[in-house]
Amino acid sequence: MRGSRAVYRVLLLAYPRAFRRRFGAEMEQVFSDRCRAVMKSSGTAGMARFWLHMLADLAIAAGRERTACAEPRLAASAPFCILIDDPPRNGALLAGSVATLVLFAAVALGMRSNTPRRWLFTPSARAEHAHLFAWPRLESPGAGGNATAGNAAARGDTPQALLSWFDVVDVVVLSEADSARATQLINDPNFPRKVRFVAVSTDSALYDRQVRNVNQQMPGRLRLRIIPANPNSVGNVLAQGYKTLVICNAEQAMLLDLRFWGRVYRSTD
Amino acid sequence: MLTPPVFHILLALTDEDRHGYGIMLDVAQQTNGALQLGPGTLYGCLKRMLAAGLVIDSDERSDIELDDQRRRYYRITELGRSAVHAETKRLAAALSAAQARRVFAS
Repeated sequence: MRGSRAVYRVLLLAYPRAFRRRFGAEMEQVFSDRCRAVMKSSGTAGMARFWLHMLADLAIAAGRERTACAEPRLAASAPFCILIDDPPRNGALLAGSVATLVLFAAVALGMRSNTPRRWLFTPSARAEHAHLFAWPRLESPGAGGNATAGNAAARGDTPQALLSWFDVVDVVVLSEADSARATQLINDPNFPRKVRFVAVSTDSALYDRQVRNVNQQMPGRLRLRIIPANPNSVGNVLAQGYKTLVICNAEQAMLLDLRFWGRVYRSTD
Repeated sequence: MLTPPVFHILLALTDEDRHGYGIMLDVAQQTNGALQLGPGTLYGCLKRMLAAGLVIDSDERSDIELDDQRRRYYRITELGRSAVHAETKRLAAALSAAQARRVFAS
């Protein structure tokens, strides 16, 4: 389901930017709710029908929004005229369909080639839970081989290896006790290019200082933000698609229930 | 005259404020599953309805079970109630006409 949500998030690019900014997060949430309900009630066969419906909806609605965007006439219309959905312009439906299929194929191929487990097309109970608490068995992009349970030091998770995990997951969880590794990671020049938020549970003074140092050398668009490691704050930034470093202890990681939000690499016991 | 999606969305909001997924479920229930709104259709309609003043954003959170900060709730306005009322009357008149011509047996 996370794979479906990630694909849908990319497909939302078919809508005009203003529409996406206003409704994109809500549409993604609605998609996710519907997707979960279909998976629960109809299984994989139902998912195929569901995706066909979503693609048709996307092609028609995105074509209509782009047409409306190109011909702004809401202000000049009588109030009720705008409620009559004009048919899309000639060719808009075809163009929308083709663009959707091309985008979908490109995303699917990209994810297929970059993702060792090919989780996108193999929704299963195992895929559903094979993240935070069942320990991800994604291949380490830095060192190769599979990651298994154990702490960062035992696995030889260098800051560079941890950084490269952000290429394939949404969240990396580090232990509070691993502050030396965390500060090294934050100070890596490439860190702000991949990660936007650092979630800390307690005693953020150390990381405040590190982040401030990094931000002084970064342009505004790459500035890091520190947020509290609680479910609301972390959930909000992950829902918006930002990669996040979480520094907390095991109990707090359990409370976060990160598996709901995306792919997680946990480098703690 | 309202389009079927707009009419059913307004109808879904007449008794309580709802978020997008709540509206989607209610519309499916109203129509016995005949009208399944996708997210694009739903939010395209809501965009036009917000612009027309038929619905507004609501701060209230009525669905505690599914509630979280990211969900936005929508509330029907007086104008929206008037529109759904007028559309209901039009549909009722159309239904009466269909029954009088024995197109539709009650």
